[in-house]
Amino acid sequence: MESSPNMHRSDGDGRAPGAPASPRAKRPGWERFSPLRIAAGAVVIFLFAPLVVVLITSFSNADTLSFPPEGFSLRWYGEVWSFLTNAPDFKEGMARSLLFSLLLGVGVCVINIVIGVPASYAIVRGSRWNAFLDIFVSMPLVVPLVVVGIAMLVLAKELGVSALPRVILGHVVITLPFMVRNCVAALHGVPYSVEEAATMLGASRLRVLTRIVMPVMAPGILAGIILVFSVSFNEITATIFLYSAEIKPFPMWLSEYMSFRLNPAVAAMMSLLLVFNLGVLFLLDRVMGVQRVVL
Amino acid sequence: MKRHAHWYGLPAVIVLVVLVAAIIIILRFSFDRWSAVEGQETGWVTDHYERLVTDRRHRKGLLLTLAIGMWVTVLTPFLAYPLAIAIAQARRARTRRLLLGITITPIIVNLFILIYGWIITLGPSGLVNQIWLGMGAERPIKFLFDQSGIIIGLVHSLLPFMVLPIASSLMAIPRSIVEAAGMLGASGWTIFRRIYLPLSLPGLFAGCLLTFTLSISSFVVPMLMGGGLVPMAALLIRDQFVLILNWPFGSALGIVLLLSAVVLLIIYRRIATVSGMGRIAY
Repeated sequence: MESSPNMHRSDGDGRAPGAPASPRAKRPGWERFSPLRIAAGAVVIFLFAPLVVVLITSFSNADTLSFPPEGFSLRWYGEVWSFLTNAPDFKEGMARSLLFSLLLGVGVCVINIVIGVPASYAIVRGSRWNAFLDIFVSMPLVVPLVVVGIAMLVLAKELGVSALPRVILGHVVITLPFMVRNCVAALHGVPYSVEEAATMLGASRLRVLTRIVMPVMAPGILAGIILVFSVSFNEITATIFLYSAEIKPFPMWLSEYMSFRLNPAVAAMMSLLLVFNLGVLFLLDRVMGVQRVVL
Repeated sequence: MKRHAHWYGLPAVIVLVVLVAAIIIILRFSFDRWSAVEGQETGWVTDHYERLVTDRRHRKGLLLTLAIGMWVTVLTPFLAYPLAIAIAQARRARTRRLLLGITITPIIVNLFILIYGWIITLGPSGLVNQIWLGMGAERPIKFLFDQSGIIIGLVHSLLPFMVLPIASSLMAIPRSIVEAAGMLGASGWTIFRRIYLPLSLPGLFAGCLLTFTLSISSFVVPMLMGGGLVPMAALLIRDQFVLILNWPFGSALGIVLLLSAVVLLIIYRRIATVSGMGRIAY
């Protein structure tokens, strides 16, 4: 951290026992600055309030949405479980859409690894076109998601392609920058001379790849995978233009369900999704440190 | 490995060329003729772009989009600064990480959850209105199906894009400056006004550009919070593509949205310095 050398000294040097802490060692009064803390706390509450509301509502025992709920039960979680297992009309829909979203996320991750990881190597270590490649690869971020949606829709129509490839392509385009940015960040951390040294010492290309390049990029690739999966799993805006009755990711199923029935079962499903989302955040922090992940 | 490294980007470039091709098709579509009876016909007319200005409904929609974008951009810094300052001031690495994690939840958590939470909270019989009516008000405040709900939802979902640039420019301020001011007796407010605010203006400006760009192209928040009654640009595009099936006009709307986003984000890239913590890919 940014503590100055002086501070360590004042902590350590022979202060008379019982004497008040030196003014430098304790937090200066202005920094405790309680209005700031109150304001920051209020903002944190603002950020979490809707999430907590959804969580609480999911434990309601009422038939309709009301907050605060009158009584609590696990009834709606049971309902969601029955959607997944035996309710005839939803069994297909929800379980299938969840499974499809999982497979889609995995597929999008695989494609991203195959095309994104080499691209980030080229951006950092390439001898030509680095800047061009860098800008080109982050281009999708500049395109509003609605426009990605209609662009893929129109392209698929022109080419006569069905729903599955257009959903996959849409998701790959949207997620690619996240994979590349994180790999680039990881690769920047280690100079090329390390690879050079290994080559000079007689390591084969494969060995340089497996023993140096891959370990160096690993945190970036892992963070990229987690982020790509999460973005793909949560994607709504572009997917709305691209999905079909057969190719239906989970958020699309959820939005269709929400449009004709708003009951605490929706809150229960969202609470489960929320747990998954927060798990992703936790994993990202574990893998790369939340301050280094490129979002 | 290095000699041919620049070729490794080829697969990614090919995929992105597909996106560019798709956008070029939309651009081409936006000049096509269209009528409700005959549908789309290849041509070179600028009708659809003229219609953006002449058609009352769409002109209003675009102005509304800009107005909502402005509101979000003006309001978000008030929420962003306390959090950004708390992040920059955090002494312990763990506190800072926790605050950063909290800051980016709106990016990671599914938008449906955020919005659904707000719908429950802000509805006519929601928590906020229960308190409001309990205080003796006669009528509930109308948040849903209205601009105010959309603004609240957007401020929430875009807050990280304001906090992170501001926090990263605050972190660049040497702690000694702030300490000196504090020891010379400056109050917290003075420190904010004379040190934090002026030195974080580049971050603030970058955050404003990002927030504005992302809010004028927002889709999910206006769709759910506005219930289709507040015609923001992205929803107008959806209507043309899904309901009215006037793809050329929808494409023209899309191109205008794309161009505004590109221009704004190019300016952003010029001023934003990718440094510090909590980096954004933009």
